Amino acid sequence: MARILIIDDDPVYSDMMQQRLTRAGHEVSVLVGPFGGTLAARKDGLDLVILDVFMPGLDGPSLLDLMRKDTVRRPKVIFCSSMDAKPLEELAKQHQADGSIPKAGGRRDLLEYVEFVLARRRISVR
Amino acid sequence: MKSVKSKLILALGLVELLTLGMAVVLYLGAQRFEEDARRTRQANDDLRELLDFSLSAHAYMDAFGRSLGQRTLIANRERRAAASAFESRVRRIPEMHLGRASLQPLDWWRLQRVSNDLSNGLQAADSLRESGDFLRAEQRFAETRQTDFNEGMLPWFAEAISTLEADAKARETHAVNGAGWLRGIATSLACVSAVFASVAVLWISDAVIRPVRALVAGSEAIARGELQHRVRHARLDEFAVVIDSFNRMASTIAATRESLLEKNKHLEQAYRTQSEFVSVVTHELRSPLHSIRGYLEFIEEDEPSLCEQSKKNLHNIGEGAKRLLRLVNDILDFSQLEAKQLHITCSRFALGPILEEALYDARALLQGRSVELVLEGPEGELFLDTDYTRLRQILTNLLTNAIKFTEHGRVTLAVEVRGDSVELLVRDTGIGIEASQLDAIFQPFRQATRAGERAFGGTGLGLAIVARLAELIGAKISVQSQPGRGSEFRLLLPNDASRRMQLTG
Repeated sequence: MARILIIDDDPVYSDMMQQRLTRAGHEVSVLVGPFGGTLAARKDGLDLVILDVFMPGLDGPSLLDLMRKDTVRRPKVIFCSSMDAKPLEELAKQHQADGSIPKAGGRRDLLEYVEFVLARRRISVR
Repeated sequence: MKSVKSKLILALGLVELLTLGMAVVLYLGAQRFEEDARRTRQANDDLRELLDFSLSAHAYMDAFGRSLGQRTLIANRERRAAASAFESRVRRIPEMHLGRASLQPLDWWRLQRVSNDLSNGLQAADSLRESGDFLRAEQRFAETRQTDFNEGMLPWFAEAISTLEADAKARETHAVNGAGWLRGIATSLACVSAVFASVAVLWISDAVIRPVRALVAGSEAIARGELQHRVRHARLDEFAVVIDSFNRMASTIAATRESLLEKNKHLEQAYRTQSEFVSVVTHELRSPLHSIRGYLEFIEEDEPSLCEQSKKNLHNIGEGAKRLLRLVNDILDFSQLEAKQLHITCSRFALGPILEEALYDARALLQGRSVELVLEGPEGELFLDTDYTRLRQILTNLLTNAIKFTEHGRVTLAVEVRGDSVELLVRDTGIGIEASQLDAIFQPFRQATRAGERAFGGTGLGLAIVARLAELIGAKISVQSQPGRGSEFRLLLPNDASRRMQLTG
């Protein structure tokens, strides 16, 4: 069981994701839209943030950069987008996110990947 | 206006003038020589005349002397004939000097007087002889001969001959000088004419060659793409007209290119905007489809007690969403390919697994049709060095296309290795393609259909994407088909993908 925060401007998709992860036994909170993201990420005990890339006003990578500056505690962050897998992976590497998962993946792909990221030691960057 | 034509006219005119001058000089020289020749001839005649005169005088003296000695009738007749001949000569003295320029300076009166004295003396001697006084007649003859002939007439003739000699000498000098002068004039005129002709040739050829060279250099510059190049002209001549129109042409080309570049920029901008729009729209279209698929899973999971009909309906919704997703993906791929936003990432991978994966994906599309999927793989393991994702996409699209148009029979995925080149083949036993439509099938939004009907689903982008992806990874795609029998698509991988390949096992 992990505490997961979903930040996505699409309420329907984030609701679907929340259901998927909740059914797998995780404790999931949702933030619709990017604003308040840094504050939400400060919450104690948060293990993982699933961050959408294309959001109006503030895109995922920029929000990640803000979160990195702001928080002392750093939950793992993975990008989730309807982009193709390859460019999404590049983007995640570029912004030193902990991983990426395309929205095109099915339920099993999502759950396995989340388990994999949570189990992995934090990638030591810098 | 110093046109080439006026230059030509000027040069030719001057050369003509020089030639004419030479002709005039030669004509005048010839006239002068003729005059000299005429006067020399005349002096000869005069000399002959004087010679005749002196001969007749001498003959008279001779005959007279003989008649004094012989005193015969014959001698007397000869003396009379000589006397009358001499007298007639003497009578002609006044007219002898008329019209004879060479003899003008002679003292004709003196000759007249000497002749008359001679005649009178001889007549006096003759009358003494007639009277029988031979002694006095001889004395008188001797006196006349001494005084009038030797001392009067002969010096005159000596003088006449020296005058004629001087005249002949003067004429000779005149002729020699005239010939020298004529030669000098003709030579200098010829030299001037030659020099002038050479200068004129250089002048005119320069007037022709320089603008031609400038035009050639200008056209070469424009051919190199230096459209700002202009040809300058120094003079206003015929070439200036050509050069002006050449420059106008260059300006028109430059202006046309500018406007074309401008238009092209606008078009590219418009095209990019359109592609970005399509890209954004398709992204937005994809997200809700993913949500739909997710929710369908929940319903299937939460409601195991659903009736068969509802299950079937839900399944159809899922299939519809999947198909819609595929279409949206195709459109997105195509718009990215068109906007040149897709880039290839080469990596080294084994060919076998990628073929297996493509066939696995394709199997899901059969949906219970009696179509056999066959892999004719290469012997041993084959490694390629190209873009994995794009090659996989090409194979999937080709297989999807083959299955879509094949109701029964088989779809074969084959690999052919010949030397350094690797060729992937997708063969089917489907409806085939009419020869007239073979070229069109790689165009976007086209399906080879009978009577123009869209009998099959899809955007018609599959093969257009294949063609563009093949181009992107440097491969060559070709197709052969027999209507009713089936089609064969061949993908020839680029040499550098296969050059680095390795065959093991």
